[in-house]
Amino acid sequence: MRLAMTAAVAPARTLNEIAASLGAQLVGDGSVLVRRVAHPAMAEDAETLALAMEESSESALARTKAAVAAVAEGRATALAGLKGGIVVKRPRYALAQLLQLFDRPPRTAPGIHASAVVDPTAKLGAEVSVGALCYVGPGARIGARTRLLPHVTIGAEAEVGDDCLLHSGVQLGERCVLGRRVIIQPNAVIGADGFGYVTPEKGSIESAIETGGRIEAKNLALARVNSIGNVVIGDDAEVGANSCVDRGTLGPTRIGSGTKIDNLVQIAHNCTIGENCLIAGMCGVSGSVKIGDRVTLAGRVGIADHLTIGDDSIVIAGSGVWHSIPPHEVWGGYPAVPWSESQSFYLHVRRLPRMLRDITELRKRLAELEKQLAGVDASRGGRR
Amino acid sequence: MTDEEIREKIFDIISKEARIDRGTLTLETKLEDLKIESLDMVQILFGIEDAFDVYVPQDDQSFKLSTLKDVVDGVKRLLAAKTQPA
Repeated sequence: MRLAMTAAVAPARTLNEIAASLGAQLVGDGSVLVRRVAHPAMAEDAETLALAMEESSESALARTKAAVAAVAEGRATALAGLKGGIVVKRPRYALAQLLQLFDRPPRTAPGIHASAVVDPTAKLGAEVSVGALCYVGPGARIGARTRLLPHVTIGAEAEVGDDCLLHSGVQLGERCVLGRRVIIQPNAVIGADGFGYVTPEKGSIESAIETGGRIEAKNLALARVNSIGNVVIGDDAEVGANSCVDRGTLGPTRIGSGTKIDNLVQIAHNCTIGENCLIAGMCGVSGSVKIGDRVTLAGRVGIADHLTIGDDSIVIAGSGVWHSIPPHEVWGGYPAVPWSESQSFYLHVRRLPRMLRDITELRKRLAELEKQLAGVDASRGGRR
Repeated sequence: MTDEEIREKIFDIISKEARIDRGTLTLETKLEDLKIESLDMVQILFGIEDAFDVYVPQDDQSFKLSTLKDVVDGVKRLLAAKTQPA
């Protein structure tokens, strides 16, 4: 028997409860009931908590339909005219907390949809939801309360921990492992084969490296290096839409607990990524790269193969990393260098047109001086 | 160029590149307090170089910038050096 879809509505809470949950200061009437949060201008009714924690949204409080609002520390006066509100110390963090309280999770139905194919040898935990047209392969294990939205594929012997959420179209390859509370966004592919090929004889890349840039060998054939490893992703990690994490050649490609990967990111085979890293959109991490804990890669960073990025390092957007980065450093540019050097390079490049103009002017003046000196020499010679 | 013109031009550049309200800038304002992002600072430096046709020394310890007055005085020194005969 199929049960109804779960409603994506958070329970109502009093302002008092919200303040206590966030550790925020309560102002005014704590008994006001809140059912949702919204920008002050978008508040539907008095049961909305208006989010005015940025100065830019504060002005909209004057015309809001909300009865209560959240404002930043030192801005409590903006609550005048409302029934009350909360004052938060760290607005962005408070926003995260509020959106957990008033989340709108995707609708799922408990149980297995009639159109899903679940192998009889697969083991599903309590309260698992398997959406329409999903496939769960032989020997796969799905943890309790995990939700698979439509069109998710779980390969044979893959393991998904408790309380995970796999959005539509996610493909988890055979033998790959997800920890607990992992979120995989639509169409991400975990466990595709690594990009590994080798020439029977010395290839063009080896030749170029040996000779310092001359290509004396040709890639006449490319033999496939099969990937027989897997991907292991830790607890509380997240992989963005259309991102790919390739399986290892012999062992696992690892993504540490708490690491968040944005959309359109490529993590190649054999990489080891530490805990609580942030990897923004369009990053490309080549094979066998080791990334420490708490590393941040801003958008469109590319990292060459076999490099090491130290703990807590930050790489600026658009950088091309050709060299390993020590821990606790900010690097940027193409090729990436320590950020202070990168800024200096940028300034010098920006100076080039003026420097060219100055050099042209100096050359002209030098030529004139030489001409004058030649004239002086000639006149001295004539007097002798 | 008068001292006032130099100051106004520098304040304009800082306000534009770091998106800071022009009215809040005074000679006593500390650069540190403006919390200018590093890349914006490069843009400011380049803006000053371009506007005054000077090169701001980067490793010169005598060119220490703490307040906006230091920036104005530094640019005045660079302009004075430019007009001196070689």
